[in-house]
Amino acid sequence: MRIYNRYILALSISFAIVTVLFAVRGVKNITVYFSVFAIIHLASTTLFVYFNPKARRALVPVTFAVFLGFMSIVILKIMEMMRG
Amino acid sequence: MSGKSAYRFLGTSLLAGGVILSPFSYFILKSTPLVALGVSSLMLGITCLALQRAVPSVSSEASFAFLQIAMENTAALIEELGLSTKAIYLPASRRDGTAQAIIPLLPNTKLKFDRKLPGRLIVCYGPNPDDIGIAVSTLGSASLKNLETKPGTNAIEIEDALSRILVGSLDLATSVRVIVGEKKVEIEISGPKSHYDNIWFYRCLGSPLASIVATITAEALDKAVMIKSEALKKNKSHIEIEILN
Repeated sequence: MRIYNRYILALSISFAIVTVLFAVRGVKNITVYFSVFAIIHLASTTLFVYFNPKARRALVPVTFAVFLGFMSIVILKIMEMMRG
Repeated sequence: MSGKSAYRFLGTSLLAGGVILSPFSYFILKSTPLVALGVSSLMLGITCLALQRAVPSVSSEASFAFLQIAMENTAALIEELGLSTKAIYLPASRRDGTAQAIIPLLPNTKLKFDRKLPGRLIVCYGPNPDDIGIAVSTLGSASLKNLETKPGTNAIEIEDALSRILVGSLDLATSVRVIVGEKKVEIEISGPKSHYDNIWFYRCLGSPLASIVATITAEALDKAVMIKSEALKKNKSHIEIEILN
């Protein structure tokens, strides 16, 4: 199995497990789901160190977008907490 | 469907599914887990579309056909010339910028590759008239392009370079272990997808796996190397590389 297939499969399985676990637990906040998805995405992309340079470059904008989304959630939460 | 179009199809389908499912689940079904499913589908779709840019547009069947033709031509040349000596793998610095292997016409144990050799098919590598060999490009020569920087001389750096090529780029193995000695380098490749056959071509240049390993080792150490032995034990390929000078 190609390394790209393993990467996609790892992401899909992780996302599916998180969604099922959170749904069973009754988590109703979508930002919690997205934050965990973002962490999984960033961690998996880092862990698959043997991607060729072309793939790594192709994934940079995706990783950046995910990181930006995650940071937006964090900033919004901090602002919410500061407002009391 | 080629690899590239398969990723494009999967990416577009997941992206479309995510775009439809997320707002539908949020506004109509009011189900957070389904919104999350849509979001994860969107993320996977975008990742697949990004990855399809890295997948080569040439199918693996076409690549295999090109490789087979190249190997058959080199094998015919070696057999026709009656070369039976083991190839010596040289780093790019000893050739005209391309790492290549030299098959000496006669077995010679006192080879010295301390100068740059001309970038020709038939090369004279020593002071004697018999010091002539055939210089050929190998699988490893092409694979080196997948490395961003030249690997370092220690075992970890060689292991990292080999893993990037054999595991990441070519998908020929599952993991690689390297032990660097004073006169030899031992490499253990787990889950190899190419094996050694006792054919003339492999006896000269080694199996495709050993050839890649030898080229990268020569490049990393910046020294001429030779494949000393290769064996398959318990689905692990053990390759021993001899450092020449």
